[in-house]
Amino acid sequence: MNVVVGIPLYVMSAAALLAIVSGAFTLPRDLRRLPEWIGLLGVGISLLTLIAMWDRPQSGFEGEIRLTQMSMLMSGIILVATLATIALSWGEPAGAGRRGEYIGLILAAATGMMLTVTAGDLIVMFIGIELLSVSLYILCAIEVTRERSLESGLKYLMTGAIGTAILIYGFALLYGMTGSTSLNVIGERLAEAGPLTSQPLLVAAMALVAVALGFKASAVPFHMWTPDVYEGAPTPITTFMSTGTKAAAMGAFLLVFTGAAQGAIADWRVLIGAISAASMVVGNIGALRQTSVKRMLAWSSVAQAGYLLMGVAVGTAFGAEALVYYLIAYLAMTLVAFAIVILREREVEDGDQIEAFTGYGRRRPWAGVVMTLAMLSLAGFPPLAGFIGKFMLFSAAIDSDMLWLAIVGALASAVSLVYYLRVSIVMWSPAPVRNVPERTLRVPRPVAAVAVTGGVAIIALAIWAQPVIDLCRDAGASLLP
Amino acid sequence: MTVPMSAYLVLSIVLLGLGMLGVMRRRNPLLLLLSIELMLNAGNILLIGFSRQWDDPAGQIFALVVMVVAAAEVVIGLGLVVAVFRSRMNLDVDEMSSMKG
Repeated sequence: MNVVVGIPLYVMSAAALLAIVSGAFTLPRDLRRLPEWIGLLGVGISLLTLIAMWDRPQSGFEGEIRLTQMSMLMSGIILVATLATIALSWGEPAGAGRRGEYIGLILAAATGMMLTVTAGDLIVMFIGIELLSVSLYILCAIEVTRERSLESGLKYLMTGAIGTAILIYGFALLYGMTGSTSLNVIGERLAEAGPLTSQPLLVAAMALVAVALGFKASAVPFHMWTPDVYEGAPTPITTFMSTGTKAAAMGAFLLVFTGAAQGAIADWRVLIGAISAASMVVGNIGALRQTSVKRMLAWSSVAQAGYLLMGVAVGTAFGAEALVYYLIAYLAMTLVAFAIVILREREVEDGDQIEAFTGYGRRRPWAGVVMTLAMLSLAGFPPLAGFIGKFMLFSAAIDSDMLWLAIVGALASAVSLVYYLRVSIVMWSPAPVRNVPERTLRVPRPVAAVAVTGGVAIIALAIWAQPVIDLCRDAGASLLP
Repeated sequence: MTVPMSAYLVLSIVLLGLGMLGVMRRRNPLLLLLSIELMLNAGNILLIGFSRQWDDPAGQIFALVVMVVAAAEVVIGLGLVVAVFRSRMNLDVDEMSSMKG
């Protein structure tokens, strides 16, 4: 029994508990940021332990927790998303008066996400997914006095619980067909079983698991909750959902499909390919007619889930490598976009509407520049990080004879140019004469830091792509035996 | 007399179907939670049935974990339902549509 393997997880859960407990006391004014600092410290230590363990992949608790390069890189992505979420929550009105619970639940959700991507067993993966979901249900509804926040939490809970039920049913069938909950053993048994088409229950198991995990990643056909929940939830939480949850769901997809079910690849690649293609088409078309940037980003996140799933559908180590690179790029782009929305929301009423951004780039040039970068990169404009990621995903699809998927992806990105470019054009157009009351806001430094760091990362990930791609290659290779 | 695996399978599929029907037909959040509970327990029955078939305790452990998780979900669900009820004294998910599009 190797207990060292869980250190990054212990640190995060300890930080979560400490933050919640610290919220139970009335803190003196100098210490009112204590929960945030506990959170930042916990995330920092956890990241350092991951870096220290990078060269020593190991597993513990009888293979139930596995720290491979893939799970370490995924945990790293999740930790960076958590760090950014805590920074974006600086001065967030949603958490006022309950900073302890707010930060503690973010940390608990992050622990669940990390558990999901380090799991070596279906039970552990399920606990991870539930820990992240249940924490996020509460976080969405944390502003109990604001009707939309409540509605968002309740909707997320209802659809999420249906997703959970389907996930359990799929896991139960998978367990029944293979006789084990361990991902390694499931992999061996599936490889022995040969083609699954003769066993309808196994095909059903794969389909149910794919659909249920797709729910967490907000992929079609369970994407309908995304716009409402993203719009109603406090914006830092929306950011966390679209970055952290997506990373955790993609990690689970890679572990279950590319990793464990590798032997049955012929049976699920078309299924995942179809989910991916449908998400790209539906997400991009849905985003076209939105007037709220938050809703537009929600639909765009459906489409991005489609691009990412392309890396799962091909089922190769190269596909996984491309997926992880795109996930890192996606993290940077999404953080920037939401950071700017958060700033605008605090300045004007209805600050998430696209009109509210008219001329914003002229008022705050740095915000305009990073937002334009993020939008261009999300649309896949060369030579930014989003372009390199999409290029890798499309070439992975072509390499594995899934040309049709790459074509759907390319057409869908062409459509996405329309709505991404609209935002960047509006940012720089002359400001109209408006009688909307504006608060001049001193930009909270952590929010600005996230936006600028993200903007720099979008360019840096493109210029120094090779070292990052090498990391992703190690991760992709560690997934397959 | 031992119960054959097919009986577990049929019972769980029936429960899952009933739960899904409830989720689609019912509009009251409390009844929605009830239907979801049916679906979760369909999974539990399947897990326990397979656990007997393979003579492996992992399935039963899984079922216990699912019960705990289901309880946590219901607690939060009920909490939110109470909060919504307080803020507008009305319980119908179709009328929860301040956001659309």
